[in-house]
Order: sequence, then C-alpha cells, then structure tokens
Amino acid sequence: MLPDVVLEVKGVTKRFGGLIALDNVSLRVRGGTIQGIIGPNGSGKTTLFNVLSGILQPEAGRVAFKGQDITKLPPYQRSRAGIARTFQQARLFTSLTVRENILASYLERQSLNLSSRMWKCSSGQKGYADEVIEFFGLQPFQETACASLPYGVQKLTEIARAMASKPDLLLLDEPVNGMNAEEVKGVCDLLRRIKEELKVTILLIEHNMSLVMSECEVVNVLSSGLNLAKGSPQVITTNEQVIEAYLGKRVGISLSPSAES
Amino acid sequence: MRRWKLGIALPLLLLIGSVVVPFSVSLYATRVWTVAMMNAILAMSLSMSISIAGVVSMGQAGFYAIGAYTAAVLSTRLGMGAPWTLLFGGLLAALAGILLAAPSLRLRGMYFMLTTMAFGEVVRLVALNWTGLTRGPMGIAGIQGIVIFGRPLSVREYYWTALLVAVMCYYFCEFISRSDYGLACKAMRDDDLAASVLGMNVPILRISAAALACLWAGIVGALYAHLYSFVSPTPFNAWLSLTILVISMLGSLLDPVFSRRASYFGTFISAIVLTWLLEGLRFLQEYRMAFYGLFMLLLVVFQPQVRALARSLGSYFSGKERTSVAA
Repeated sequence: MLPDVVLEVKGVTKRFGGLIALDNVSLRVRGGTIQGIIGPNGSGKTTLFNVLSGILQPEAGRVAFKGQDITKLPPYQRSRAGIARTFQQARLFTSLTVRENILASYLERQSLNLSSRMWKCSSGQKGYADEVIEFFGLQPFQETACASLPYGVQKLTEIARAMASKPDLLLLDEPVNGMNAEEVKGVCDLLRRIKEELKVTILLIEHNMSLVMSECEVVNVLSSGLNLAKGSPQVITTNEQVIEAYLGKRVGISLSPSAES
Repeated sequence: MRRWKLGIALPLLLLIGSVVVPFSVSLYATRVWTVAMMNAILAMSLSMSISIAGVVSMGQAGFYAIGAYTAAVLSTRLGMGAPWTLLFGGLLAALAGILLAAPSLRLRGMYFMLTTMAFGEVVRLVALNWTGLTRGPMGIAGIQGIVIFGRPLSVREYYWTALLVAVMCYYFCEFISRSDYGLACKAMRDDDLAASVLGMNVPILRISAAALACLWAGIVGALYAHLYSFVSPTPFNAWLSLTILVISMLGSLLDPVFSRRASYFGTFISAIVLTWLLEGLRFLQEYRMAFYGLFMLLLVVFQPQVRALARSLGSYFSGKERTSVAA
C-alpha cells in the first residue's frame, strides 16, 4: 500500500538569474490520487517538474518522496526510487522503435548490473514490454521508429515508456497538449486505469480544463511561481484569485466546468 | 530469418575467402591483408562506440599506441608472452579511455572529437619524449614474436591471428549492440535527458562505451608490436586516427548492403577496401594523402547517393523491400 503522502514539496525556490521561477512553493500529493497543477503560461509549472525529477536543483526548500528526502538526488536515482515523468514536447528515443523505447525503460528497472546486461539480449523476448504495449493500445505501432509516429501516438508512447519503469508516482507534463476531444477522452480513460488498476499516483500539468475537471481530485494553482490556490476543481474554478490570474480583474465572470482556458 | 542468414552466412563467406587468401598471394600481400584486419578491428570498435553511444573518437591511434607500447615494454623488460601482453595492452588502453572520457563527459559532437584527436597527439608526444620508458624516437626494438607450441608465428600465421581477433571483435560488437546494454546506450545517444529521468546513468554509459572501443584498440596495438617486433611513435599519428574514422564512416554507408540492421560487416569490408586503396596509392608518395582527402570529400558530398545505392543493393540481395531502418 502506498503511504499516505507520496510526495511532499516544502518551500521550494528556484531562481534563474533575477527571475524567480518558483517562489516558496509547497505541494503535497496523497497516494492513489490524481492531482493537477494549473496556472498561466510562465507560472513555473514545468520548472517545478524539473525540480521534482532532479533536472534542476532548487536554491531552497526540500522534496520528499515516500518519506525520504530526495532533494539532492540526481535524476536517474529518483527514477530508481519510483518517479517517472513525461515532457511537454515528447522526448522519445527517436531512432528506436516504440517497443525498444518501452523495453529500454523497463530493463533499466530490471537490473542495475551493467556488465551482466552486456551479455543479455532481451529485445526478442515476450513479456512485460508487450503487456505495457497492450495496456496502452500501441500494438499497431510497436515496430515503428518513433521519429515517424503521429504526434498523439508519440505522447502516448511517452506515457507508456514512463509507466514501463514501474513508478509509484507519474509526473505528466501536459499529456493531452495538442490532442483532439476524442483523443483527450482516451487519455482520460487511461489515466483512470493507471490510477485504479496499477495503483500509481499521478501529478499532472494541464491546460485542458475538461481533463482537469473530470480527472483531478485536487488542483493546485501556480501563478508567477507562487502557490495561488489549492482545492477541488469546483472550488478552484470559482476562486476569485484564480480567475483573476487567468483573465484579469473583472467582476461577475464565471468559468463553466467544461470551458477550456 | 533472412537477416540471420545474412548475418551468419556473410562472415562465414569472408572467413573462407580470407583463409584462401594467404595461400594464393605473395607474402607482401599477406602483410597488407594483415594490416587490413588490424584496421578493421580499430574501425569496428570505433563504429560500435559511434553507433551505440554516439561517442566519436578521433584518437584511435593513441589507444592503439598505448596497446603497442604496453606490449613492447612488457615483452622487452619483463619477457612477458603473447596472450598476456594482448590482455594488458587492451586493459591499459581501456583505462586510458576511461580517463579521457570521464572529464570530457559534457563535451558533445565536434568538441568531443577534438578532445580525442588532441589526446591521440598527446600519446604520440609522450611516446616521443618519455625516453626512459619508450626510448623516444629510437623506438623499442627486439620485441619477441608470438610463440605458439615453441615456434614463432610466420607471416601467414600472423594474418590468421589478426583475422581471428577481427572476427572475435566483429561478433563482440554485434553482440554488444544487440544486448540490453546496447539498447540503453542507444536510448542515451538519442536523448540523454529523457534517458536520465528513466533511470539511466548517462555518465557510466558514455564512459563504458568509450572504454570498450579503446579495449579493442589496445589489443590490436599489442598485436602490432609483436607483428613488427618494433614500435616507434611515427606510425601512431593523427592520419591513422583519421583513416580509421573514414573506414568507419564508409562502413556505415556500406552497411545496408549486408544487413537490415546496423551491423559491423560494412566496416569490415570498408577496412579491406580502404587499406588496399591506401596501399595502391603508395606510388604517389606525398600526394597519396591528397588523393585520399579527395576520396573522403567525394564520400561526404555523395553520401546520400551512396546510402541510397547501398540500400537498394541490399534489398536486391535479400529479395525484400526495405523499410527505412534508423540507427
């Protein structure tokens, strides 16, 4: 069973020169939930993900994962601890096939012994990689080189690849960015299945409000690197400050739940 | 299935052909074939580090020299015999590869190539000036030949030894690229940031890939020392490194003729072709390298055409329509 709080971010600050990208940001993700992070462009959402996955080191604050401080760990060790992520622009291993992408991620979790892996060749074997491919419905594309995949499939493959590393926490940076309504629905179903069948906690950044409204239990709002609000999607959309951050100050506006920002 | 047939049949064909070679040609030609095999080993190991890890070294001659001098010193000072000198030559070169790759991890592409090129020169200059160990420009003479069953190897037997090592190197490279380790390396080559957030230790992968290439350069360097029984700094110059890189480049272009996947057979063939070409141009004396440069230039200019031709030849041989295969 997952611990109560899987991820805890306390007072994280990240500066780029004079720009304060993250200003004392705190966040708490409970196990087995889907949480969202929303915020206007440039509010520090992706920077926060980069801090969580270890690509960037924060100037202040700490990040705890499953009760352990991981603030100083390099990216590969965080992955081994159980954090997987995707990128806003899919970053696949473009010359490899979908299957190889998934296999590379899975094998990394299987054995850490480099010299033993030099003498092992698992690429032809059936097994976990095929389960992942099936779960994500990627069978038609599995032998295709990723460079020639359609955009939506690339995004999906990236989620599949992250899941192949058997994480406890999945960080998704705009998973449905650029997808049509039909594809968005497909991803929503997948996220729910990941949560319920695979018991993986999800933290996602998204601009697509229909996904945020239907899937996220808790939504955190960032604005200019600050925690602006936190709560259920319904509470968030009626929050005066949030509306102000997105749309500017005006009285009497209301965002309907299905409206896209 | 077709792929495997090609993958096994072609090296076997080459093996048989190459065994026949030394009996049908002069001793001089056998020597050239031996050099071709040694170049093939240097180039295949380089091709491996390029194709799996994107680590392009222009300093193969430096690691070759380290292997050769290691064997020379061990043989003349300690009286060590062949299998050990080859082993230590390889290991010391691999160690040098690690020492070079570790501090240059942040360098990519052209900058890494320049570093390796400089390293190759540094090795040569050290060999030239560390007279206490290497006897400088005088070179180390009187290295014992490889002795098997109490009898030193003949020219033909050296050729077979080089061929055997080359075939071993070929299968080693093929195996490594298809292994789980090779897959991780290729992932790291395509996108090291994505690889690192998936748990891959990027520095270790890069360093180890470089070390594997250097290992073989060191082994073949030791073979060189025994073959000529003399080493001096002169032959281990930047030209040699460049030649090896060109062999590897041409090899990757020729490759689709022989195999559906990236393999090292093309490099093997191109080592033979280019070694003989260089040998054939010897009558041009100092203009030889100019012709060689022209050849390189043409190769780069007509790269797309050569690649397309190789692809269509490959599908003609295998009787199959070829889908585009990257890497």
